[in-house]
Amino acid sequence: MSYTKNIWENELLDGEERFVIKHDDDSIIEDNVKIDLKNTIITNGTPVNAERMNHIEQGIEDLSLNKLGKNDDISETTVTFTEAETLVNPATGDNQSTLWGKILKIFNSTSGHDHNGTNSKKISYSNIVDMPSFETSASNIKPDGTASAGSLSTIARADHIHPEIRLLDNDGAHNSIWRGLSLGTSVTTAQWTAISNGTFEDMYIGDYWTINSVVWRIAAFNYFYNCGDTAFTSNHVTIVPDTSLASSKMNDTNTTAGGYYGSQMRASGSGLATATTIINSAFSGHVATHRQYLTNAVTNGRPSASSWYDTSVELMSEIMVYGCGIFKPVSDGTTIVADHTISKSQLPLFALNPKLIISSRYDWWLRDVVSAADFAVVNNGGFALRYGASASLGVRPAFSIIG
Amino acid sequence: MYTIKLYDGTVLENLELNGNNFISDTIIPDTVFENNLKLIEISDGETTQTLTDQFLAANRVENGQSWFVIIDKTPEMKREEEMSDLQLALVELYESLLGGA
Repeated sequence: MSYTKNIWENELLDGEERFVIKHDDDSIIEDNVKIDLKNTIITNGTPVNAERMNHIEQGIEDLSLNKLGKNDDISETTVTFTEAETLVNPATGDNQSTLWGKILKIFNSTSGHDHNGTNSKKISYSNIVDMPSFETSASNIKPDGTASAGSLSTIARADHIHPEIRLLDNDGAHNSIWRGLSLGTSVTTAQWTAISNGTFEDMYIGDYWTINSVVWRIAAFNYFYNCGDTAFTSNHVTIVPDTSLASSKMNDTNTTAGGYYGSQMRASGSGLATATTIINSAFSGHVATHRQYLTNAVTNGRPSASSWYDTSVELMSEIMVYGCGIFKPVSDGTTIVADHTISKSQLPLFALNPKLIISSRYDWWLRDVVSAADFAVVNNGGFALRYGASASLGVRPAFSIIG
Repeated sequence: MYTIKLYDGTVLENLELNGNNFISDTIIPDTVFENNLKLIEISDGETTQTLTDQFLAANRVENGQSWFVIIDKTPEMKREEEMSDLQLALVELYESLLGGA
């Protein structure tokens, strides 16, 4: 509420100031007299007159009109200040000038809190001090990524992550990653070593060597490991060419008698022999020989016998390519199909990148007996198929290399 | 090493087993097994297994060895044999009837 000022006026007399002295009953004692101060005036006082009183009234009114209340708008209020000399936090009791001086100091681009001149969130890396140190020993990294020393100021480097959470160099880890990178035109000494010791460093599913104009693609790591009546315990990489290496019949007539092992495909001079020659030329001295269980007899269109054999280059099976049998006979609870196989899971190559099954549009043989006359086939149109054994189709085998 | 005693008492000795293939260092012709697998005994030297209604699924020669497979007859094979036996019995019946007439 604003103050309403009063207007003061000076008293006006009709002549020189005179007094009348009266009794209590207003009877006059002395009339028309002057009254003088008997004391000696040491200091003349300030006279109280209309001018002075009105000046006071005006001052009170001005204060009333211009003062700031706690809810008053100060948007137009200005303050004069200078930057504080040192970086000090604002404190209770600081006046406006001091407060704004301290704030200006905070934003000083060289001596204030760090920022890039316009954005306080962009702190220069060079201005960061007391940074956490990096743990450089992988063995000291805990699964949560912190250092085993337990200090929050010590953190793991990206290339030093605890073995439990980082991708390790081993068969299982590398079987899980599709990469598809060219590894060159020959297997290097370092790569042979990595295969031999089972780390498979810098080799992943789909990676390939281009040797003698054939793309040899990594299909699996240690796919056959520990399999066989004599265990295959050498670390190995299973390879599948992108293209057929030959064209051949399974048998001269439409019969599967003798199973895959007894087929003409595996005989001397056949398509598989041609493919084996090409493979041995590309990976001379490194193509693994290991034991596989292959069918060697067929009864009523079903594999009825199978045995362990020394093998190196063999046709793939439906399971290796598709991940399941499609046309191959299965046991029905009464008749047991003797299609024992160690190739009992899909090759990671085809699991991670199914388009590699049809890397080019041609038909190629699989080794599964389908009936008394047919073997399984991968069709050029991308569907699973079977053909009479006398058809001449592509030979796209799988084999394994060791260091 | 395995030993197989066939239905007629023939004994095949010194057999190796690979998968379900028996391997003999001597050549064994198919005729040895013909009508001789109705009841057989297979011994590994410690235990003897008696099997009935077997048939020769495979018998081939590799590197001077006989690789042969003896397995259970399939239901289809048994049905076919039963049909053959039935047909034979009918023929005999007809012949006896005709002879009696």
